This record gives sequence, structure tokens and C-alpha cells, in this order.
Amino acid sequence: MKVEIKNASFSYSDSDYLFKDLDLSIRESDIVSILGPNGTGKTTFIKCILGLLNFRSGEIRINDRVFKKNSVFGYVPQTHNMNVPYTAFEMALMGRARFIGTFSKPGKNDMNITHQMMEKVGIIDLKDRMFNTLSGGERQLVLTARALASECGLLIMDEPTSALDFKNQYKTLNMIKEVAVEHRISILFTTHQPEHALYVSGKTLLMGGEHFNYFGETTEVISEENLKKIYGLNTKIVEISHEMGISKAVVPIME
Amino acid sequence: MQLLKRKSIIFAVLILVPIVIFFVSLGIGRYTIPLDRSCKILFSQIFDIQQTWEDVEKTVIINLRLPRILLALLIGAGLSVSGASFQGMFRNPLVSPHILGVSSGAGFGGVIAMILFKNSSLVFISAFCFGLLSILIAFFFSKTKRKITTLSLVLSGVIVSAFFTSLISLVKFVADPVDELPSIVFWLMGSFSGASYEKVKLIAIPMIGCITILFLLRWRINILSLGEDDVKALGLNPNTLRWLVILPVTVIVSLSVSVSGMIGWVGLAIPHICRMIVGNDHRILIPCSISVGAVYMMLMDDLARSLTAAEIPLGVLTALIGIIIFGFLLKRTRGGGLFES
Repeated sequence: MKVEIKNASFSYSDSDYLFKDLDLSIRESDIVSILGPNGTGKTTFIKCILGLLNFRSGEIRINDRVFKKNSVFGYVPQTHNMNVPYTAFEMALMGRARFIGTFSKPGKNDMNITHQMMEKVGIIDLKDRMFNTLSGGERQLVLTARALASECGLLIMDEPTSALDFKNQYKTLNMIKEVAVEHRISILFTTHQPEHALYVSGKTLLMGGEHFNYFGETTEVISEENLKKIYGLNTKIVEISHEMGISKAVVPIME
Repeated sequence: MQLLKRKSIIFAVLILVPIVIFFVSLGIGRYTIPLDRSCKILFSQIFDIQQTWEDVEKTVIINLRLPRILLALLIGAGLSVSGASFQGMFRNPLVSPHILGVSSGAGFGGVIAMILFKNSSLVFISAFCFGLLSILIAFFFSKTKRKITTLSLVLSGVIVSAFFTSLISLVKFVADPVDELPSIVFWLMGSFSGASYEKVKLIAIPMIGCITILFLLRWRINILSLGEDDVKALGLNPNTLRWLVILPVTVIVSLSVSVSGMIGWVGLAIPHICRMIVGNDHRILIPCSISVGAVYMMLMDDLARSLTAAEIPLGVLTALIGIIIFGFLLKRTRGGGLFES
């Protein structure tokens, strides 16, 4: 799915803009990351795309059409601390909601698809566990399976790696890569780790307040100069070659 | 397979128990009639059965008890399923179907008609219309910036409820203390003693219709219970869905107040008791609430008409006994885990 966001702005009051004139374009199977300091509006931006909040100005175009309804996006929120009294499977099954008539309930096909998606995400073992007994990372994976079960064209994830341990962070990033290719869906995710952006995303949006927004190829946007501007932090971006190829690391230089 | 078997057993129980209680209730009252005879009397209405009973027994069962039991069954099921749906929708276990002020509104409509017209069918109409009016008022207050949140809805329900409760007090104050006041007070406490086939006919179709709507919405109520953002993110419209639940509940509550006064605690305690038994999945909770609500109301009405020579007000009984059962279950299951942290 091709998604374009043009001149997006958001503010709670008339003067103080959280972000202004943001442009973003996502092509099919693209992985786009959003990076920026706390409080610069990453989650707000995501919520606006989802229609949970409204942009003050700007428009969203999907496959070159102006878009009104958000039923085609999957969403994995940052924290799901609400106590839901359902099993992980029930929770994931709800992703099928928009395919199921208001007065009916999920059928065999819906169950099968949900089952497949839970397998894909690697949480089929958690199937019968109550959602509120799961850890933060496991909950996010259940919600990822739910989003995939909804057959969305764009999957939006809010800090998918923040609640995970070191190994699971990369497991999730690899899953993101796989999903984007296999399901041909586009993925937009926020993160605090520049290295994660470098690891999976082709494009990156750097959000640094009203006047500092950069969008483009990840390798160009994540530069020592831009990170300095946005975080006020000196960094060195280094390349490390190993048997699997070349990886990039961002090393902060503290005085 | 094991799961499927368990499911069908549960459903069989949910259907069979109300039927058994229905037949048992026919024989219960100040004038006790054995089960086999009361069944014969009932079936003699449809089939040709040789008369082995006295005429007075037939009058008691067909003219007095049957309409009462039918009303109790419908209203018990309706109030209980309304409570279960609202608790899921508002994501709050303390919610009852009366939360939006509908029952206070209908109650006021009833008592004002009792004073002004002294005509029982006008009492019914007035109570029903004021029930619907109160949801419109609640809707008006909760609507801010073209958006309605569950919180604003609950708060405006509190306003509407308090408003009509005060008006009821005012009516009681101006009512004739010898003539009118006792009948108002008794009516408000709830009773099926005024049951008739007219009332059954009036409410049966809308009641069954609304219960069916809530029954069909049971999986959607699961989704609603996740909260507004999740509903939207799943591509559904939370507002439409909410009103699809609110409207049938409003009709059910208005109808039940219109025919039987204010019967409290059924819509709060019964869904809870069901939650503790079958869990929080509304796909099973909703049918369970329908069945248990109907059974509970029939049993309470049996008690109301058989315990003492004078009838005990039904609302008092449902509350008293509901609270006791609720209290014991709460202690045993530690709350059943609905949205608790």
C-alpha cells in the first residue's frame, strides 16, 4: 500500500505546534522508522494517521486517493496496560472484526487466519494464556498478530522494541522485515534507537520539534550532523564489517 | 472436541433450567398446585386433555400466574442482559442498566401519570415515553464538540438520574398521602401483581427483539470492552456500535419500568454472578445472563407471592437476595477479574 502524508501539522493550542508541515511517503513493502526525542510528537503523529486524533492541517493519500476512513491500518500501541479479561487468541482474533458482520461472530476461516498469524509472530504457545498475565513484550506480539490478522496494508507500531530484551529486539526487527516482504505490507514504526532504524528501515523520519523535521533515506537522514541538531549530542557513526556484511553503529561521544 | 462438548452442555443447561423453573413456578403461590396438575392445566389450553382439576385452579394458573411468570421471565432476561452489555461497553463492573438515568425517567413518567390520569394504560405509556426522553437528555448533555465519550455519557446519566429522582420526590410530596402516596411507593418498589395478558402482549415483541439484538452483538461487545482507541484501530466505528447497544437497553429498561416499576439489582448482580461462573467472554456471558436473569426473576416472584399473605415488593426481594448471593460469590471468587488491576 502506498501512503502519502502531506503538510501535516498538529497543535493542541493555536500557536504552539507540536510538528508542522511534515511530509512522509511510504511505498508498498517499505519500512519507515520515526526517530526523535521524547515529547516531539511521534505518538501523536501516529495517532493522527490512525484517525484517533486529527491533524490540524494536512492530508493523507492512499494509493493516490485522499483518504477518509482508517480501516486499512493495523496498529500496535506502545503500552497496552489495560486489563483485558480475554485470552491471547481471543485478543488476536479481534483483528478480524472488520471482516465480520456487526451481528455475527468469527467463523472457522477467521480462527485459522488468526492461528497462522500467531504462529508467524512466534507466540502460538501463548494462545490460551490470559492477555493480562502476559509481559509487555508478549502483549505487543499478540497485538502484532492481531494487526496482521486484520490484513492491513500499513502496519503502524509504536516503539515495538522498547519493552524487549536485547535478543528479542532484533528478533522483532527481523520479524518486521519478513512481514513486510511476505505480506507485502508497509510498516511504520517509532523507535529511540538509531541503530534499529539503520538495521531495518529504508527511510526515516527524524522529528525534532516544530522546525527540525527530516525525511529521507535512512542512511542520509541519520547523520552525525542531524543527530547533533536534534538531540544536542555528539555521535560517531561507524561501520563494522563482519562475516554477514556490514553493520552500522551509532556511538555517543560524551564530554 | 472436549471444548465443543463442554460448550453444548453449558448451552443445554442454559436453555433447560429456565423451562423447568417456568413449570415449577406455575404451581407456587398461596394456593399450591402440584407440578403434574399445573402442567396438565397449561397444556389443556393447547391440547384436548380430560379435566381432572378444579376450575379455580385453572383460573389461578391461566389468569393469574401465567402472565406474571411470562413477564418475570422477559423482564428478568432483559434487565440482566442489559446489565451485562453495559458493563462490557462501559468497561466498568459497577455499571447497571440504570446508569443512564432511563429507569428514573421512566419511574417519573409512571408516577406523574398515576397522579394526573389514574389510568393504568396511560401510566404504561407515560413511563415508557419518559424512559426514552431521558436517554435523549443524557445524549444532549454528553455531546461536546460532536464527540461523545463514555465518561461524559455516564456523567450525564448521573445528571438525568438525579434530576428525575428529585422530580419523583416532588411528586410524592404533592401526592395525596392517604390515597395516592401508598400506590406510588408500592409501584416504585416494583411488582408483577398487575400482570395481565395485555401487558405481556405489549412488551413481548419489543423485549424479545431487543434481547436478540444484544445477543447478536455479543462478540462486538467484547471488542467494545477494549476501549475506544482499540475499536477505532480495528476499523470499527465506536459511536455507532455504542448506540447499537444503548438503544435496545433503553427500550428494555423503559418497558420493564412501565409494566413492573423499578426492580433494582438484577442488572448489576446477575451479570456479575454469571461472570464469576462462565468468565468474561461476552459470547458465553450474554446467553448466560439472559438465562440466569430469567430464572432469578421467576424465582423472586415466586417468593414474593408465596412467602407471606400480603405480597412482598419484588424490588426489595431482588435487591436483598441478589446482594446476599453476590456477597458470598465475591468472597469466594475474589471478584472474577473484570478489568481489575
